[in-house]
Amino acid sequence: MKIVWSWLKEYLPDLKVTPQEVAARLNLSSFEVESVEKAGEDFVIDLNILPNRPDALGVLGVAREVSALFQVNLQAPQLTRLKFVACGKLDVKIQAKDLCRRYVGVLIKGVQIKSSPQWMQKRLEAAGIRPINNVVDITNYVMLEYGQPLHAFDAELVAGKKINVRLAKEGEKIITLDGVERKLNGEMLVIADAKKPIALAGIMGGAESEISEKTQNVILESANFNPVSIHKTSKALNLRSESSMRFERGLDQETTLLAAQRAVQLLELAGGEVSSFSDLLISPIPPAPRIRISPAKIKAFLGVDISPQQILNILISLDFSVEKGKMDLVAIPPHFRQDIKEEADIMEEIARIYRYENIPATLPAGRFAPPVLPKIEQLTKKVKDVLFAEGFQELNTFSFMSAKTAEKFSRAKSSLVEIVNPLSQEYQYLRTSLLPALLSAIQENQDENILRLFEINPVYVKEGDKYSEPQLLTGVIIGPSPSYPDRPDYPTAPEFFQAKGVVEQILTELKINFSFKEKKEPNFHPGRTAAIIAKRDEIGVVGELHPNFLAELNIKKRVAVFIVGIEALKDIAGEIIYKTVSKYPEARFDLSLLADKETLAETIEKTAKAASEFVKKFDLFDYYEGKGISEDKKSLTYHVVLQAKDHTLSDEEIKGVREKIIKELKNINVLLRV
Amino acid sequence: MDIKDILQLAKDQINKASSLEEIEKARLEFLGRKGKLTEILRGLAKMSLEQKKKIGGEANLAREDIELLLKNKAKELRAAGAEKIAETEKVDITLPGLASKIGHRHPLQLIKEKYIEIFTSFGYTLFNTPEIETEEFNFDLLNIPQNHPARDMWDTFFVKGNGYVLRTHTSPFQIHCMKKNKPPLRFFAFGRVYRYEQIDAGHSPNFYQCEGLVVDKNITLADLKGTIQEFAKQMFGHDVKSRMRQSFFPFTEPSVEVDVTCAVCGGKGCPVCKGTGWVEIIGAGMVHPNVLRNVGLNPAEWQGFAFGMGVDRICMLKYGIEDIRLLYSNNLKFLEQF
Repeated sequence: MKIVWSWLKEYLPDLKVTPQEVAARLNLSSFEVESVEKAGEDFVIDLNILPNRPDALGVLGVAREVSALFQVNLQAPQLTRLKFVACGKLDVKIQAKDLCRRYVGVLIKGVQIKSSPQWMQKRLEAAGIRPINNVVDITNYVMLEYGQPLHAFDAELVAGKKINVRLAKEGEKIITLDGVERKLNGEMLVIADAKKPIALAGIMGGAESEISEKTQNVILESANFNPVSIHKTSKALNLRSESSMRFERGLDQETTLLAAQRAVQLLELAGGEVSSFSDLLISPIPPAPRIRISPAKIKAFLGVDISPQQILNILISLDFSVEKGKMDLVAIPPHFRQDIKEEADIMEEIARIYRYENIPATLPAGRFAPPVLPKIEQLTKKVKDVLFAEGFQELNTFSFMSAKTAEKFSRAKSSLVEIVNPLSQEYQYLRTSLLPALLSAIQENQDENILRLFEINPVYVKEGDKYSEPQLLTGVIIGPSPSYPDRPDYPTAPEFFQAKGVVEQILTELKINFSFKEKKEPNFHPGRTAAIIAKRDEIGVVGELHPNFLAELNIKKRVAVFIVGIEALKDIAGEIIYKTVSKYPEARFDLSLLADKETLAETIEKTAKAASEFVKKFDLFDYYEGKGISEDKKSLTYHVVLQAKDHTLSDEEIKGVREKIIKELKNINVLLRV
Repeated sequence: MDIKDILQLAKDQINKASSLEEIEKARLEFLGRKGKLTEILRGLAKMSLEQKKKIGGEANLAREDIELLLKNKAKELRAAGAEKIAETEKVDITLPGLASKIGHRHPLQLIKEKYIEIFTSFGYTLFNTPEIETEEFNFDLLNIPQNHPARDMWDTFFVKGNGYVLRTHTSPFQIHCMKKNKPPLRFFAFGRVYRYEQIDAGHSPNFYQCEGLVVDKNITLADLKGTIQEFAKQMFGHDVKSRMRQSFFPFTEPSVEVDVTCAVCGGKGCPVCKGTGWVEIIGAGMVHPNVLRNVGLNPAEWQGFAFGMGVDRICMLKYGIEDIRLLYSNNLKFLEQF
């Protein structure tokens, strides 16, 4: 809200500080300052009035605030009481009693419509409101002064001079002052005359009863409308105004009358004369709360000693009534501070006027158990450590996906979480897979020869009436393997084996026993995809994407993917189990084998390891198929390490184990290569 | 050959030696099992006591001399050899080093680890709650009633179906936390939140918040101030200053906004801080009595503070990142810098 400095000063004749000083103080203790700008000889301070402070939506309210902050006197306009004139010419009725608590209507006759005085026009313009004519300008001026919106009708255009505050009838129409015809529904509050709506209550007047050059008699309205109702109507019609913005915050019912008095005072200067006055109050205004507060409690809450006298000064400067007790006091907020309801609210008043900068900085006294990082976080950190060591870049992308992506990547439509009001079609659903995001990353970085990317984030699943947000790890690999001296090179599917290797590395690091099983998965390569099995459960999948699927996505390189449920890992991750290192020497030799192509490497390894308890390691270090061996065969070369727990293996024992392994392998048609 | 001659011969030979092998040869020739001096020493056995004393003494002195000569010459030769290696095996040490490529954390995840480190050291336990949240937890229980204009402060994404929204802030964590645990409480949350905002350099519909909650019988506003000051120092460095400003949140009373001195200009004023020298980073306050009541705690007995902040903003300030969209992008040139 724009506050004109000279206008503000009018209420604060003793204020001796600069606009900048006032702005700086307001900024810390009251309302954020957007700007302080020079406007000719004057200044304009732009404030963001907090939502709970409708009392400051007028210059007078801000002046009250400044008077408390700088401990200077406030000089509010002197108002005279309106005398009840019982001519019965103005007939006001409140039908919607829940939505309008007070309605002050004044019929003023003999107004001469012309421009308002220069000083008023200047102030309105500086505050951002266009001057129109003296009557309309007065209503706006008083709104800017008291924060209470007013409206003026041309009395001759109000049928029967009857005012009824009621709900609109379904389908009723009104042309508002902005010239737009608006269709109303039964939840919208209107001001109606004997025939039809003449204003959208608290939002905008109707064009038909607008003040014009011909106007002579005016009906002035000052009312208290229900904030929720005004908010809903304003939202439904997508129509916001200076008036609705104020009513939405909730105004106090005392000011309803004060603002009317002020407007009449100004209208009388314009030659008008009160002919009829009506003040309808639905029920007596509830008394202000009485809030007990003590210096001891203030200290226990704010953490600072403030003397009883200081507390008293602060409250009085904010227009509270204060009753002193022996140990405590009772604070009664002024009528315009509807936001003050209980002790905590008083605490805030004291803290901000005392100044936050004067409150010491301490730390909470402890009696808390030391924290333990949740298991899932500990585990995620370990997983990431492996991935970073393996050269993977972490990505972090939006939770949304499009309907198109959903169709491509998701299983049951019933498990999708759909957004009612998405930003765009791109963001219509919450994602059920991280893979689309990673594939986009590949598409955007196709120039790279090697890409290793991953993301760990939740996906979103609807299960009946409930939702779950399981964390997934998804990684992608394109390009040749970075060289690893101890590992075999595979002539085919290097990406698949890289991905599998990473999964193995992660699970080994987490001390999880695992195995792989061939798997068919939509969009995945039918011959290069495996389920990751741990504790008999499938905890993820590793595989190459189907070449056709990649072609659809216009990705020109092979892509291997691994997807692992982090939640599942949490339940099965093991601890480090140390085994005594045997002090007896190891015996090593290599075995070069020739096997049928369909014989699984897993079978060969198991067979060899089962041959003797002394076989400690049976590690593949060379794999070959192709030229030099027959088409249905493959060549595998292993490092074998033997060791006993309790003695040095003799040459005979070593020879025996070697022969035993060769013999067992021969049974599954795996032969020593010569 | 007497001892004098042997010593002279040894001296000549050792002096002439040009390699460690020749030194070893000389050692064997004079001091070895069949060495010239060894033979004399061996001959002592047959000699008279007097001769033994005289010749034995001379021979031992000569041996010590030869050993010293050998040692010194060997040292000399080694030093010369080292110099030669410096010439023959010299490399260009400015050639790039060899290492396998390691991966990089995402900046927001890097910040997450920093948050975990800071708040864990403060004694807070991480307690994360769902992103798909009921309206009741996201609004009502936080003292933001239905149809209240204050609800408009949060531009909400609604989930199709049954009263769920994408949480607009991490604050529902406070409700979960207080419902699930008995005070005293000291918790924090870190996670994704959502607002209906068009995407531009400063706005994203999907972003992160971090939020803390401390409840006990004696927690004060001064404790909040100290905690936030300490946090700001640990996150931005020890010369950062912070200040509290009056604000409004439905779920705290008093409510404050916390500014820190602008990391970009150091408080002098620049476009990032709109010339004020301060940037707003945290919303905080004492937990509103209605919120305590909503979770069954008596505000006369329990009090506490809560604070929340936009993580993306802090990440951007910390690293001087100019566009929030980079944080959700696949731009490797950006990502690989962290």
